[in-house]
Amino acid sequence: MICSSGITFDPRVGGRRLTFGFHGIFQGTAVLYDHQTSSKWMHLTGECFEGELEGTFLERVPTGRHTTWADWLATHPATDVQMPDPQYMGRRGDRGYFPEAASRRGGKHLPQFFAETIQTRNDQLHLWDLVYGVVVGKSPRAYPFKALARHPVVEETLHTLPITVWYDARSGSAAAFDRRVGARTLTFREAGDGRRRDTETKSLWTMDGVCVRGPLKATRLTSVFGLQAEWYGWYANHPRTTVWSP
Amino acid sequence: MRAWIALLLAVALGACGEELEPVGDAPSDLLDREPPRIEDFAPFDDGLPPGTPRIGRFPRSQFHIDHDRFLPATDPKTMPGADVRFLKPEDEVYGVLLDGHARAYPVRMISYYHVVNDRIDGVPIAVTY
Repeated sequence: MICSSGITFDPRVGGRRLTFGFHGIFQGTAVLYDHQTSSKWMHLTGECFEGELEGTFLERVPTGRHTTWADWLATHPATDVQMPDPQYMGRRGDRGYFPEAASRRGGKHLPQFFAETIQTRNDQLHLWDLVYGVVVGKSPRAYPFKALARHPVVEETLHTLPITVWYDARSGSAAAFDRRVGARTLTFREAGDGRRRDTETKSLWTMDGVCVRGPLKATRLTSVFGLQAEWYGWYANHPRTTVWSP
Repeated sequence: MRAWIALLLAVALGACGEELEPVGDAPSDLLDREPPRIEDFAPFDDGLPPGTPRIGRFPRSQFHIDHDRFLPATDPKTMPGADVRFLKPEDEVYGVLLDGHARAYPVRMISYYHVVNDRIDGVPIAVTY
């Protein structure tokens, strides 16, 4: 599909809220523009590459993740949900959403005009392989979903930051966290039911890094920014990426 | 027009257990099921030195421009998750947590909008896909 990457940005630049629209495609991923200055932005990195705001990077909000509706609702019973907008759909002459098959992550639905915009390619992984991409400092690192399925907890230190990358096979959801809590650096094990347990205090943690049972109850791990992407999109936007393997 | 009315009805009836028809009338160009051939891709690793701005060095002709092909959602309405009937359990969502407030964006919708200019508890965010 079209990179399969949901990303949350802080749209405030210089005290002003920018709102964005769709401009085009480059590197197989969306190019956006802002309505305030018409500057152009890369969706995957939040980099402004043309216009008044060129050189600006939007700050990324690290607490978003892809998952299934069942998992999200079970984890967050009080969640709200964006509603379908009938006006939008009427105006566009369509319904404002894709058939399920066309938006399935990792699906091979890249029209040729998308492919032609990809200037930077690497065949270390299959183009369509899903990865969880994490950026710590200036170092991008990709964790292939296939590897995460066998190793649902990965612990590493990147640039002196001890991180943990989690994968829940039931929902196909990945997330990354700083694994320090106070003076402690925790280590985690899969505990079933989409939860993790830390070996130091035996506390139970959700996929959102919230402790729901045990001595650390109500503690939140600090999220590390990451996103899911097909390999082609991650690589094209982060050509200096390294790839984790077990 | 009929589809539009049907959809309005479906949304209105959402709380009563009706499901949205899960097939949209998406434009045919974006439903191109043909996977690209390997030769469609530029076969190189550009090996840029660190810190090089990467976008500017590619000519604009490499871009596919289709300005406003998709319109963003701005400050969309939301509904309580407990009342949602238009999602199936296995449907993919993109969830965001901000200060403990959880919001879910159905992927079938945001993959279409590409941008949701939103606020959670007054704090502006831009969700892009």
